[in-house]
Amino acid sequence: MILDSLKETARKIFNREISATDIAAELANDVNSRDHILHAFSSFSSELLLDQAKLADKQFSDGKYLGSLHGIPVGIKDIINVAGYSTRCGSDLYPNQVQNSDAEVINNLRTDGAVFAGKTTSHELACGVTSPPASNPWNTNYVPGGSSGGSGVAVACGYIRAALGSDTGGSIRIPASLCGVVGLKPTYGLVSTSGVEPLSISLDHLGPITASVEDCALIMNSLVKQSGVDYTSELNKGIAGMRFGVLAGKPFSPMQPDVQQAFENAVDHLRNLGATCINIEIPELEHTLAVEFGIIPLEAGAYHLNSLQNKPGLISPSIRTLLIAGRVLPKSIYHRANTGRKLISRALRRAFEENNLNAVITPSLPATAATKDQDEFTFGNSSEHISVSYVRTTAPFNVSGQPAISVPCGFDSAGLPIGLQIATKPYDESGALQIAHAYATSTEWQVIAPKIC
Amino acid sequence: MTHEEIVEIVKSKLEADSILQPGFEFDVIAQDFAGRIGLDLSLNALINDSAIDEQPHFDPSWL
Repeated sequence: MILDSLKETARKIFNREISATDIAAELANDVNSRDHILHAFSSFSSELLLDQAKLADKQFSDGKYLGSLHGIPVGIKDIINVAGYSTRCGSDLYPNQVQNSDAEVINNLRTDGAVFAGKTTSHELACGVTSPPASNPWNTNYVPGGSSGGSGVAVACGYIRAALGSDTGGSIRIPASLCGVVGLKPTYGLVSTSGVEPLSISLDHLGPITASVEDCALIMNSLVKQSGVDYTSELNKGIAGMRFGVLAGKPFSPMQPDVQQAFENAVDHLRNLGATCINIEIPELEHTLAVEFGIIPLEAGAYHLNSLQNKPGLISPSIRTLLIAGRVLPKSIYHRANTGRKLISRALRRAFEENNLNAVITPSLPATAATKDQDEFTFGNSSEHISVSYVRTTAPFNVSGQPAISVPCGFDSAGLPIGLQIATKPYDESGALQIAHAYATSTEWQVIAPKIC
Repeated sequence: MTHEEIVEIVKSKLEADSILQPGFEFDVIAQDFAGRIGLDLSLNALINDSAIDEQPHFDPSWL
């Protein structure tokens, strides 16, 4: 299924060149024919989708055009409540019970006319980086990343142009990078998490995974519509005169040689677009994972205490071990991790201020997609568990709360996507989108689709 | 601290939380626990190596 951009689809619907029902019917046919391989959706109902689309068409013919997403299908990670669907969180802990109400973000999307394409596959309890049973559309032997893996797959394979994900240590940017699409983790607290099952409440963020940066900006307009900000307004202003810090040292190194080369090419390209790029090391960031892993288990363990006490057999052993760690670790670690969090945030702030930066840039991830049976990456003489590799470059911006976007920047020798991460100052989502758009629209990476499509 | 001592600590903490269940993989849990305690060394390095010339604070204008 080859999809127009959200803007073009909205134009076609508005001009009655296509109906919401046409789009929904084609999507239903596509998912029913291919998703037994890709598993982008953990829950999909053609009937529910078509009912919503028919209602959207009726509203339009009655003169009620709801907004920029009228009749356009959006995928929703299965930790976010959508009325009419169950919320299963990729876990047997959650019953197949239809929700009666929408999360706040769903209400916003619904107000703008979106229809919901189904619930996308989440790693169990949004706590993992592989999202089984979902497959990477670039090669189905590889993982799509996680925990919002299904959202990444659904967009990358062309089912839909936009989906929602959540990001506690990188769970939007990881699948975006591994699947070759765009993923934005906004500033902490900017996008409501009301009506969303938490993993770690002080690190959880919601945001879009989309086929283009422009699509991402349009979804952001809806997610934070109460702010009145138009995230598309700065997209075409270019980046001439901007200053970027190229983050070097740990935790960004080591990385795979193909990733290193693609990243260096991206930095050169940004320079050619008129930006100044300077190398920066922030020593505090080496300790990001100690902070991240000092917070997540204790917050997750507290939230899931009742399940640990009463239904531990419904939690897979690896997740249960993490939750148990949250119960047995000294609480002093949590407090020390939060002190560390403040130090990391302060170090990043100083780097921005002292170097007069518009953004810092890094590879989104140090490695491309792992195979489904792979546990570790090898970098030179050292090896590292894939969950550490996939989180160490993204987590700094969960800890600091800054916006960070992943945009495609190339492929490795096996044809697997590589992502470029751009992080800006808090609440400067417009800046992150502007930089990402300048890069994406002057390179070919954003428009290359996997062959499975 | 020996592995067995860590297992006993884990068991006693889980018992206090009423989440001690037969079938739990205590060896794995103890190894994970020991590894996470190791993270505290990294937190030490971060907190001790940072030139804390002021009380760290969360500035709402930044976050």
